[in-house]
Amino acid sequence: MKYSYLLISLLLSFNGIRAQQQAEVEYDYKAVYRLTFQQDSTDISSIAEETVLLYLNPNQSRYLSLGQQTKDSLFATLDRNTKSMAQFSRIRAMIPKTAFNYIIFKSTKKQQLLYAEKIVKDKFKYVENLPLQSWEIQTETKAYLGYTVQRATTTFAGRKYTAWFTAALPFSDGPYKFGGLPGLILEIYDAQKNYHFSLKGFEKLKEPVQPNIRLNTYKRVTKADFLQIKEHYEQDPLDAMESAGIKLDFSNSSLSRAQAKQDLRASHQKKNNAIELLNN
Amino acid sequence: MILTGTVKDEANKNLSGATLTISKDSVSSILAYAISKSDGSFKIRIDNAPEKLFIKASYIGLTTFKKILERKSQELEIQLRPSSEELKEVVVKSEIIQRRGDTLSFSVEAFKDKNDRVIADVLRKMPGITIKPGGQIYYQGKPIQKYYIEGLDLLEGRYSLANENLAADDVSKVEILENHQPIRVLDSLEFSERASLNIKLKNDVTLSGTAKLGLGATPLLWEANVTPMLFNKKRQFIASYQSNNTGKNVANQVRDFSFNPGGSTYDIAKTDWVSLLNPATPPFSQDRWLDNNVHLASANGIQRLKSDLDLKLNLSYLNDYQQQQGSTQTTLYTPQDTVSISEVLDNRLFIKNVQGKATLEQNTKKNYLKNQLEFNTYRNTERGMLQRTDAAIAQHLSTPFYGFKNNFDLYKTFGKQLVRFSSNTGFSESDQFLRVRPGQFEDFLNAGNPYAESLQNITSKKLYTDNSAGMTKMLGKFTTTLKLGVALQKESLTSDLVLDDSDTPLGNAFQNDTDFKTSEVYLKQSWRFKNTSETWNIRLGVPVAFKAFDLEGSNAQALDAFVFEPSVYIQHKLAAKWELSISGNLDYNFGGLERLYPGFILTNYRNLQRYNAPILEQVTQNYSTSLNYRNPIKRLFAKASYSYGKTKNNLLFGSQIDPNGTSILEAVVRDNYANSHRFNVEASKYLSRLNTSLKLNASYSISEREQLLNATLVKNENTNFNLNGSLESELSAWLSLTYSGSLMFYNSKLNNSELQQLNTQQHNAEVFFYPWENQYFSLGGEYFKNSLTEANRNYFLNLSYQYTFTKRKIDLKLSWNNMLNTENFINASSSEFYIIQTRYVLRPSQVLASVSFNF
Repeated sequence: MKYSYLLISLLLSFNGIRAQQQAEVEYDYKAVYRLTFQQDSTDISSIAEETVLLYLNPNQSRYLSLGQQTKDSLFATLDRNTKSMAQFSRIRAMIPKTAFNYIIFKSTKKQQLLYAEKIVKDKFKYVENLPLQSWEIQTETKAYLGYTVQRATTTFAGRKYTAWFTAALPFSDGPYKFGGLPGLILEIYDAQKNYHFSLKGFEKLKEPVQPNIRLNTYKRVTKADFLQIKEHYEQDPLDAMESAGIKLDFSNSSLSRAQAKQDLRASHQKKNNAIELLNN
Repeated sequence: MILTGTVKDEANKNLSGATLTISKDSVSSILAYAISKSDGSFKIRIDNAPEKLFIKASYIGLTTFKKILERKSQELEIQLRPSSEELKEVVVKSEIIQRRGDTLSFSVEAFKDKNDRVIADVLRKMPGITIKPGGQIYYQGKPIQKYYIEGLDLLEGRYSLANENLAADDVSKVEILENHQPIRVLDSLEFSERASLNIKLKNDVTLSGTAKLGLGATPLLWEANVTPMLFNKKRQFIASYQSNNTGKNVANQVRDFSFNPGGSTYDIAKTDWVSLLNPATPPFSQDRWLDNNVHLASANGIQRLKSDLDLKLNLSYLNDYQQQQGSTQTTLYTPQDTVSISEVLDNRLFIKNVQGKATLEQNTKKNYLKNQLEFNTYRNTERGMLQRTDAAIAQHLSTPFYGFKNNFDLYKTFGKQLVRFSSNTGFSESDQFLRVRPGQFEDFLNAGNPYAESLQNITSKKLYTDNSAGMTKMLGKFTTTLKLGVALQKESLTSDLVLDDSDTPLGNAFQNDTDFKTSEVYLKQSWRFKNTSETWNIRLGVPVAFKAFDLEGSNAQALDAFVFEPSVYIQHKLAAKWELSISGNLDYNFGGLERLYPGFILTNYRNLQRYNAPILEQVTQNYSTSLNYRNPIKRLFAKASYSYGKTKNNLLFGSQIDPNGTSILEAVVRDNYANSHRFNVEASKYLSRLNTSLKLNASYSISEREQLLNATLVKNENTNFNLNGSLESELSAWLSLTYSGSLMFYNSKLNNSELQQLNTQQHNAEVFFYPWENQYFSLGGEYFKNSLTEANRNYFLNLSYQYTFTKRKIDLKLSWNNMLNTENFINASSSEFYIIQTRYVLRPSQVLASVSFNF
């Protein structure tokens, strides 16, 4: 009997704990880009390709990879009460793997950019002030997917970029942290073409979408702190995982812990070509 | 010239984010631009402006403002009205739909590099996949569920055999089936969080395998492994032969990683009633002390009979000859006296084991059926020669065992509800003996006269059946599972103790003819709750059972019990860095036949045991709480936990210890309690500047219980304090270091009088060099010490070197173990009222060279 009282009092206490729904932003437009990138600057065969998405409304935007987007929306809409578990699992199995696990929110009103990423178990966010690039507009124009695009150049985080934007889409925005031009950036690439974003589609959404992310569960840190945490994770994922409470057992093994570390470090060295080379 | 102004909407509200562009005319390229600020204002500076300027102001959903301006600085007030004009769109089909099926597939070529031999080497590098040192594969931090080869589940949980031996060159793709539900009938009902793996081969018919050969000295050492395999789409076969005398555990490759949630509590486990006295095994890697001579052969085949119906056969044979040498120094503390025994041990163990499994599995969308028939036999014998200061004692024992079991599972849908039936039945028998020469316990058994030999015979049998039906349901945010079952078990034990050369027959007190029946009806219900923000995670179990025990024989008795064993676990995220968890449970435990036999059994040469008492009833309460702190930015982690346990027993076990060390154990009816407290604190910190991580752990535990010792009731209190620290440092890309150390303080009190206390310490350090990509060196040292004797120092040094012929894909490995040729490992352990100091004879200093390749 004692236990059932305990149970009842526990159940009652849940009524007090309800997730607060924040006033959600809605995006009306979606731009789809293809991103080709080279993870190992010394190895041309490490070139990979992903689809990345930019959701837009007049004042705000959200940028993320398709893999991240699918993952987020699934976790947000996942209702374990319903019986659609199999559907869910099937969709989840289709999530494309992504090398980019972050989301970038830009706000024209606040002139700020918010970067959010989860590392192992911890969620972090940092803020940067816009604009991040100062552009030089050139007179050169070309046709791109039926839009007239104009050339602009800039230097950002250690790379020289060429961007093509169109005033026909009056969003002062672009993929990743790029933006600030009088029209949407449809194509942008660095001088080495290590990172090349090119628009594949632009459409008005029939139903506006919401960000599907609980930003308040992300811990605000400085960009420098974030980069340090991420560097540590990439350098020594074993230690990072262990400190996140994931237990690894190396006793009774042919592969020693030190060898495993060495393997991981070698694979990390092959990912030597981040989009931001310089961090200020 | 400079243009300034503001942009407003129809309602005269300032518009931010409007784009303003300046060009020569409506078709030419943009010369200058601005984006309106949050107050709607803008400012455009135009250098080298032409005569006439064309300004455009745009905002999504509003009409574009267009105007031709003169070349002069001016201020503009722009108002934009709503527009129904749509932006030009380019529609792409969402690429996610174009993906086919539920699988992600990795091309092996993309991940394979020149050093990779077997598929495990490639898997290890794939994103999300990690292979644990024991060989278990994890995907996204969770163990995989199934390891298929071309869609067939040949090896079930023992997939390491294929994973460690299938040549990477033969594999074209590795498919990861995320959220894979291997049971198809559950696919639409039960969500699986785990992934499975499917290995796709390049050719329809593949013959592959690995071979490894190693030789060394001294004495002559060998290591061999030949694992050929054959695969096609309907039939697969893997055989393996492995042998060594280097102390390597070959059982790793046939270790079973299969996952069996909610398995039956009834099983055919091998129980050894008699044993030799063993020196405690050293706490480091087996290949430095295990003196073995092992041969393992295993054969596994699967045949697809028709679609969705597979027949699988697995068979393995193990033959091992192990030698153990060492000595023990046992000090027993009794209220009256301190007894000291010194024994020199020389044991030879002969292990023979045959295991087999036949599985029939049907896996369709409508139902799931699996029937698995398994047998397990052992023919183990052991011989021990034991030297005491006053005598030499020969022991010979045999613990053969055979057991069969059949597990049947059927999943069927009734409307939208899925019901699982399961039926497990098993039988096992073991005929054991222990022969001790000359006979012991002269006073007790033979009126003080010496005698030549005692022989303990034991036959035990077990038969059980466990049948249940269950289902799982979601109710709101709760998940509940329900299982109703009936189980019956019959165990029997017959034993007698025979003294050779003696005229007096030993009476009933040294015989057993006992039957023990257990019947049980159970209803297990459990609840789970997890809120969407994952701040609360709660599990609750409320199983009830009615159990009836019936013991026949000279200690005949019956016991009926209604058992309610609730358990609760609550985890709550207090704040970003803090997490609290609390758990509690109540458990009932009833003694089995191992604690119910009324006649004495000689379990080892100096221990006689019987339980001429009622059925043991134990009620245990456990509570624990832990608080976690994680600061990932400072890279500081800490955890503190406390647990408390209280056990109520209806029986008290007492030992009668003789000055020569022989002990007689009996049980007495008397309610008694045992309490334990345990505190644990741990912390870790990563020093990024030094690439070093530090970990510290301290634990303190105190336990107390009552005990009968030579017919006196004593209160025993043990305290244990442990301190562990470790350091791991990567000094550079080619050099890394690890160190770990531990200190242990053990203190035991009998009736508040201090017994001898024991301190032990242990230190390990290892250095790794990677001078070139295809070579590595490691050098490790160890040191052990305990407080009992100053001379008890153990130093060890080991070296290993590996060279890889990159082109030929041949690995050459050279290892030199026990460089200092330390002969013994000396260790001490203590428990309750005794301290045992053991010396274990180690493998001598030895060098082993091995070469391995794939075919």
